[in-house]
Amino acid sequence: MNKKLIVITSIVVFSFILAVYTNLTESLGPLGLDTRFLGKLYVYFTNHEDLRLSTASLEPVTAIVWDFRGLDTLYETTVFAMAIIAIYSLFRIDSLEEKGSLNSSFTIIPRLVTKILLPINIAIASTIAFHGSISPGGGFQAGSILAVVGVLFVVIFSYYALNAKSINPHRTLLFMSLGLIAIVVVTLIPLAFDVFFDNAYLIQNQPKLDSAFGYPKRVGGLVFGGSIGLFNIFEFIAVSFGFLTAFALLSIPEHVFKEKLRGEESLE
Amino acid sequence: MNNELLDNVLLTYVFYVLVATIGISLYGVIFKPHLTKKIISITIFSDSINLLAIFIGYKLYSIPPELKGMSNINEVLNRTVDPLPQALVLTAIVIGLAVTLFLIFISLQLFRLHGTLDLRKIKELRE
Amino acid sequence: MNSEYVVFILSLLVILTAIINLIGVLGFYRFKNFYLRLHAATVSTIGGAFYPLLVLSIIAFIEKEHYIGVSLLLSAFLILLLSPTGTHALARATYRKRIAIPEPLIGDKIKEEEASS
Repeated sequence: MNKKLIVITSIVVFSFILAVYTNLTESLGPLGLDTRFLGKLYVYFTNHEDLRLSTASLEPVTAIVWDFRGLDTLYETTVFAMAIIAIYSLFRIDSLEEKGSLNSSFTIIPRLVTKILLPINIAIASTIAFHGSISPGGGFQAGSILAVVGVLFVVIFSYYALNAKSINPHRTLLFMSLGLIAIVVVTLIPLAFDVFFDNAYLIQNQPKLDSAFGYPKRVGGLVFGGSIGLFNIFEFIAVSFGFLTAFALLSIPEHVFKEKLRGEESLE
Repeated sequence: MNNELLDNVLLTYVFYVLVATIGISLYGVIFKPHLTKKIISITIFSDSINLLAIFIGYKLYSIPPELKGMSNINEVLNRTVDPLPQALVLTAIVIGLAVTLFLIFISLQLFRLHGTLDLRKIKELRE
Repeated sequence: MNSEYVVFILSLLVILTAIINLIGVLGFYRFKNFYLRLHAATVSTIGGAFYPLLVLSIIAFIEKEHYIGVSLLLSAFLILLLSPTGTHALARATYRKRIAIPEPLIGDKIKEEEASS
């Protein structure tokens, strides 16, 4: 009882100090009047006329995420992929050949609404992914929207219906790895350019003062943002298939795992 | 009442409510015995911390940091919110999601092994 | 000048929907049964989310913010489509698994269908 009181008191004191400190210091709280200098710099150089200084994108947040602080995002994607791979190895299953009934136990209403909804969902997700360098959005958000498609499909139809469309955890993990490899290739292309032709740097987007390498700024009249657009598309693929892997593993029927656990116990 | 003063008071109120949410979710993480409730508390905790970081970049009467359809860069610079916390919060959300996914799968495995997620019962089972 | 009064009345309607939301929350707390609670939740999604979005889209069209108005209309349409579907799916799944007992029961169509088939 005494221990509980101590913990609650320290939580209250901690929150109070946090609130008062962040609210009263002018540069931290929501009542600050001016944007910080670093933020202004990022916004200013996002779409500079001089291509050697700009990121060739129209969206400062995406530019920070994939260009100014690109290494951060690279490692963040790695953390996400590591989590998915850890889940995959925790729930490893050798054969998924088992066939079950494809009959959904739901009435026509949920099935019809899902059929209406799935194309809308896919269209919205790809819009957010491909417009990532123009308007707010990007690869991760689009991928997590697309993952909802998988969840809806499993819930309304069944896991076996997903399997009948030849989507299983092994295959989705393969596609996620392909997306991650594509991201790595985009970061390494400037290095190959450096080895064979001219001066260039890792994760370079637009031409710099002493190097001529640059990804295309526009594709077909639309602002593509050089490497930012490529990163968005590949991150979209990686994240959506990573989520699909997780959800497909979650929706494997329980009795499969029950049998597997029993088998391991008998081995011991 | 002055309009700007009202806005400031409301914003401060929201801010304090946010910090109170952080405190309550910390209580949930420490004292709730059920693992699912602990995970829910952790997600609430990380989301409110993220919102706090967004708040730090916010200022009153500002526009989102968007350059589409804006001809004059100086107007954007004078009125924009800080884009840096938003980008960092995006990173934090992804990592928090990865951690939550992993926690959910581990607790599912625990449920399959023990048949319960209540930490008191699991403690009894282990003894 | 005239449109200002219209906007005022529409804002009152938005406040009314907030009261409907409160009623839905109270019902969610006070009802004894799963199915009755589901009913309360649907009250607060239709009355508390669909109608205010519709009213807000009308306000946006009056204020000549067509982009916001159209997106509000779209989300209202999606909520109208999704919320009853979700309730239907939940109620049916709960009934088929016999988790909750449907207490004030007048007729039972599902049982009749199962008996006939």
